[in-house]
Amino acid sequence: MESLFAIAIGILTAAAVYMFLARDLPRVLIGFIMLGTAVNMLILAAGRIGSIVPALVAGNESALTAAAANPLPQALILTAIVIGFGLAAFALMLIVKSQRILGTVMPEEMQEAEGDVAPQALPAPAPARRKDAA
Amino acid sequence: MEPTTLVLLPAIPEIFLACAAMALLMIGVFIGDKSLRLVSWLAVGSFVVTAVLLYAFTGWGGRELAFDGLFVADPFALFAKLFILLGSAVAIILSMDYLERENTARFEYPVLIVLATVGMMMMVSANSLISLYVGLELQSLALYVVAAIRRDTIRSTEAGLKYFVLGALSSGMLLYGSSMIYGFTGSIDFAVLAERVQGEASVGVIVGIVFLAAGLAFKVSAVPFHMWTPDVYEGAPTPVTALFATAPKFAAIALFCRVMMEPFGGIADQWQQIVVLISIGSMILGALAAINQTNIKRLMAYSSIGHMGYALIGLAAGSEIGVRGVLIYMAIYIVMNVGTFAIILCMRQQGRMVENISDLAGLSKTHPMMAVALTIFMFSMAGIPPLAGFFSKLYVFLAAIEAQLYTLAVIGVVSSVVGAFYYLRIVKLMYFDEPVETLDRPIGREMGAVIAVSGLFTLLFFVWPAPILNAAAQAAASLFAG
Amino acid sequence: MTHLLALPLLMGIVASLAGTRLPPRHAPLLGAAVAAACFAAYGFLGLGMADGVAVEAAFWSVPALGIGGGLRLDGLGLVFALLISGIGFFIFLYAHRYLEGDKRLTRLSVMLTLFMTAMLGAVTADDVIVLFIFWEMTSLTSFFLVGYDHEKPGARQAALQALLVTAGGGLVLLAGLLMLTVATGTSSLSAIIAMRDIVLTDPTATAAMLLIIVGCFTKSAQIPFHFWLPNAMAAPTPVSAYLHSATMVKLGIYLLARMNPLYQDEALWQSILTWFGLGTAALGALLALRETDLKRILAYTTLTALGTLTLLIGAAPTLTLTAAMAFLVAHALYKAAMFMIAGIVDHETGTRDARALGGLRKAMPATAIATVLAALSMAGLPPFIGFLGKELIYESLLEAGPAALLLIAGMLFVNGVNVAVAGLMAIRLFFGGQRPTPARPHDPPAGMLAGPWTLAALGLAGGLLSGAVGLWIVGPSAGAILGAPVTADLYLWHGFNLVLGLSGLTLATGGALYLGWPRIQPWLAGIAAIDRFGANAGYEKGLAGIIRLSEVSTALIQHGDLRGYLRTLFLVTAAGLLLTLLLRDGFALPGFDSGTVDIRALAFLGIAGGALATVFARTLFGAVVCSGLVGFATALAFLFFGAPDVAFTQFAVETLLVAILAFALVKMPIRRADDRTARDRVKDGGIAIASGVAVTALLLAVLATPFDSRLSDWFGNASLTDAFGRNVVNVILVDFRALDTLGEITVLAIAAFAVLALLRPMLQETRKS
Repeated sequence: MESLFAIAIGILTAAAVYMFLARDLPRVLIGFIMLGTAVNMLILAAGRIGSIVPALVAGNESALTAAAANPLPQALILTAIVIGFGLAAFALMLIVKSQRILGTVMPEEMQEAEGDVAPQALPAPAPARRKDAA
Repeated sequence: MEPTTLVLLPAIPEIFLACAAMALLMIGVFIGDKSLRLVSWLAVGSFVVTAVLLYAFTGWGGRELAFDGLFVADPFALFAKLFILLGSAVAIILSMDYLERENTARFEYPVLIVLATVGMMMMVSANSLISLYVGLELQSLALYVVAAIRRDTIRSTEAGLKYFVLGALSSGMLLYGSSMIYGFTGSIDFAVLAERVQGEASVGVIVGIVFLAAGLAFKVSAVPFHMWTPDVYEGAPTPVTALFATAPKFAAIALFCRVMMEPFGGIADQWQQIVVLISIGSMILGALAAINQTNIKRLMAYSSIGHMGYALIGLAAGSEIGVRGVLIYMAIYIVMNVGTFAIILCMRQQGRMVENISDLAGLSKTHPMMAVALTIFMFSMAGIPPLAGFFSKLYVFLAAIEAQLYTLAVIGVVSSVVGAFYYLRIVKLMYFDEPVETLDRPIGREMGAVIAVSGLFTLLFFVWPAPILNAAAQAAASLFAG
Repeated sequence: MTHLLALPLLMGIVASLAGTRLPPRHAPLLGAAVAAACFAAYGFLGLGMADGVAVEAAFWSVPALGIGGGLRLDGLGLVFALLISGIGFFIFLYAHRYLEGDKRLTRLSVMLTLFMTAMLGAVTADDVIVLFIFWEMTSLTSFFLVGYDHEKPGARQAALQALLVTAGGGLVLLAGLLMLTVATGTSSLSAIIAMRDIVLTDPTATAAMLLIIVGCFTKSAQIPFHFWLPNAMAAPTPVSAYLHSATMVKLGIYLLARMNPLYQDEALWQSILTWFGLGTAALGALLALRETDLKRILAYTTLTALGTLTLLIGAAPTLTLTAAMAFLVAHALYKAAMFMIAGIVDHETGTRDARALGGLRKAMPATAIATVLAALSMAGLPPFIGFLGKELIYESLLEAGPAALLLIAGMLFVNGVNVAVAGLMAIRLFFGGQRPTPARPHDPPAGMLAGPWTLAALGLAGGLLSGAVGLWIVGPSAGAILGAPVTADLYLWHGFNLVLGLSGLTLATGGALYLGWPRIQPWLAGIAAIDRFGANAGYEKGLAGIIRLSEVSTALIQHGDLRGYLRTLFLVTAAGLLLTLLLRDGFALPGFDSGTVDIRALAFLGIAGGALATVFARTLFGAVVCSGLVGFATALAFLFFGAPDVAFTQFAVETLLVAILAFALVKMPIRRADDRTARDRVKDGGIAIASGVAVTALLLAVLATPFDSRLSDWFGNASLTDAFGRNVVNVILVDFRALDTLGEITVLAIAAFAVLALLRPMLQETRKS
């Protein structure tokens, strides 16, 4: 069971990374959200899984039974989900702004970097990149 | 872990600052963008009050916990916080003229800096991995916004975007590392971790620490997670760059020290190599890449990468002396950078900002006092005695030699020599070259004051260094007492 | 008494500050007054210490910095201090006339005063940090002094070059000194030297020694750092005469001598100093013959002197140290005079090309006399002090054992060249037929002549009063180098012996070189290989190489492409993770009994399926929808594994996110496909798969270890009793980890604020239009 979970998280991570490397920002954002989800799953798994019983102290007891799920990761994940949501909302705003003002959501089209500093010194890598951008 | 009632007293300064941010926001919303100056000065005032509260509630004495042990107030945090407040306050002061002149007068700007400062203060006081993450995100999010606040230039937008994407990724790595450590040890609290992580640590914990270090290396812009730095420094509005180069750097380095020394101090020999590699990479890259820069903000970016490499030497030593060295280094670094950026903000020709190093040519003839100040900063950054920057290097090198990290010390010395080249080139330009086009005068009153105070500090540090040195020593000691 | 030792330094600093306010005409006079006062102070101190007892004084001690501070004056320091302040006095007088009418004379005087103070501080410092600070101050002030004529590109380059080499060397020196400090636990130089056994048995002993040698070699222009010295001749003559003959370049020699008691029995120390010294001297002599510019010729002969001094310190017997000190004094006297004379000739005739000058004695009789006196000392003829120095060198080298023959042969050549240059300066310039020069030559004002005259006369007096020189100057200073008392019985006449024979041979060599100079010089100058493969070319190439390396590395690493950065980040992290697992043998699988597969595994299928679908979705809109699937499958997983609170939060957040995304993306190209090229897809896919594999492998390793549940158990137990809550997750959030929750809320608030801040201008625009 746990091993299956680990594999699923691996696939999720791989997909998230792939999306993260996309050329357009909306896909990068999707990758970002998925990566956050993967980390949340990871926290859950790190606290060990198995039990279906929620972490509630039963009415007639004073402490949590051993059968209940681990409460700490859940608390951490809740924190992480909320923060992740905040970041995602902000990122979306950045993308909307970039579309409105620059008319593009492709980072490569807004790029200005070391190239204009030492144009004579740019060796092969930089032109190659420009080529596949075209 | 003893059950206790919720203790909040040690966190009063942070709570005050957070409330102040809300109040400032209200004022801003109520009055509008006209209130920029008012809100800015009020923000600076609230920093001062926070500093006083810090002294009142912590002092240099003991170590107090709040929020069930999630928050720790000790001299180490106090030292870092005072300089963070200083950096943030100066960043606000430096920004007012700029924002008004560049038609970007937005009251949100000082409010965001105050919020970021709350985050930084939380970072240095964090006593558990998740509190650390939360504080870090608090700081980062506010800074992401600040970086993107100018909307009318491609550079600023791209800088904001890059900073956000890479920054969010690094925070993710940090969280990932934390979850690994939790998975292997069953704890996220520093005190518990310190008990459980001893002797030969398991691979998982090491990997977790590597991820933590990666996330933190990003925040301090150390190699190999430095890539955002030059692009963002250059693209962001100059006062924002000034902020990025100062307070958040101190917060991240302080956090780095606490995380490595408190929960993982017991396995220092096993993470030492990681920090050594990060440090060496940063020093070499910082020195090498700065050489062929023509833009002064980019140059400062590489310079700060290099400086972080030197500061990390102290951490790599893993000793009390090493941490003391880091604190001294960062304190002096902040003052030098504040002064240098104030000068960069004065670089205008006919009302327009200029950023080329060559625009400084012949500065000694047109602005003699400014040239003297910049000379002091450049010599100091190059580590030439008796300026403050020399002592900062001296202490980390001493710590490295004491920890028998000779390779690190030697690489540090060699890269200082290479690094000296580009700092001295600026001095040569100012004194020996002819001005092409003179910079505008007069410079603002606040700018002049910031330049003068930081210049005098850098020049005369050696006359009366005891207060800062003693404070740093006590701060470092407190990290090892707990 | 002790306060007197700190007085010169304080006077120097005060005078530097006060000097900035003086007009150019008066500034050098203040410097001269300070120099004279310093000389008097050191002279007074020196009279009180003929018995060899060092004077000590407290100075700038900062316990918090670990700096003991402190000044200490012994025989060695005294000789240097007297030379620095004494020659400094004449330099100020000289500069006053030489640069008359130059507006920048104030700046020059202030810098010279600062420089003199730093030199005096360096030779009297007893603390390694204090020493280093003054050491670097001399480099720094020399930067501004060499760059004085900054309209000349050569001067700017030379200033930077000299600073890089000497200040960089200073840092290396610091590293060495710090190692000694750490090894002995004290920063006091005299204390370190006293703890010789501890220093030499420390594991870092050899490294520290080598670092100190490198630092001293850069300052004293030894091979392979010698190239900066001739280039620094771009400085105005008073500066060259002061810094580059008499004082700054000797600072390295000073420190070598100072450290000698520590290392004198080390074979490595002896051989490095001896052979590098000889090499420097011989190279300097050879290169001196190529030049025609008087100042450059003199600069190369200074190299010969510096090399000779290094050699003498390295060749350890007592007598060589006596020789070293006698030669040091002799050289400082005649070389400073020679430089000032070269400046006078340049100033009065308008040229300093040795080929274009001749027969000046009629026009400049007073200068001619000073030159002849200085030249006789330089050539080492009796009864001048130069003769004394040279005799001692030969005498001491004869005792140097098996290497003596080679050393003496080398010294014969070196001293021969010095004789030839002395001849060039005195005979060629002032005798024979007068040649036409750009300006009509005449004697300079007295202020410029005072230095050459006095120094040359002192060279004669020193030779005649050799007994006093030995007793008062050479003996105590040689004793300080050796670390044991030395009696130096110096006398001019040794009788007819081998040493006198060698002196005669030197004269003959020198005479031949002088006569052959008109032919030797063009021939040597014509050998271009010397320029191409010289150390200066090496410096240029090294600098160019560093700049090139910098360009390539920034273009490679700092390309500005966000995707490139991200790729690097992911790749480095994934590879690092897998490598760590591999190297530390960390791969592990949890046991199969750790939980049977049941229906809940469907949630995993949903997660993996949704993730893959997002990747392969054709349009952006499709990707958004598929990523929503992942979110809902995650919520299911939370529900299945005992986390209903998290599950509901996830549902809510996911719904909100998908809705906002879909809403915001309306204005964007939602039909757009992922437009990566095939090559990019392969690359990104590879990185993605590596990351996924790494994450899975690590997670499996986590799951294979037993879980330490003490913390969670504590929360489970304390929840009801301490915090009165049955929902443990909620209790943790609002009670035990309230800080995190508070922070989280603040983050959310900032996010909302940020969205508003970014939206506000857009809303305003929309409203306007």
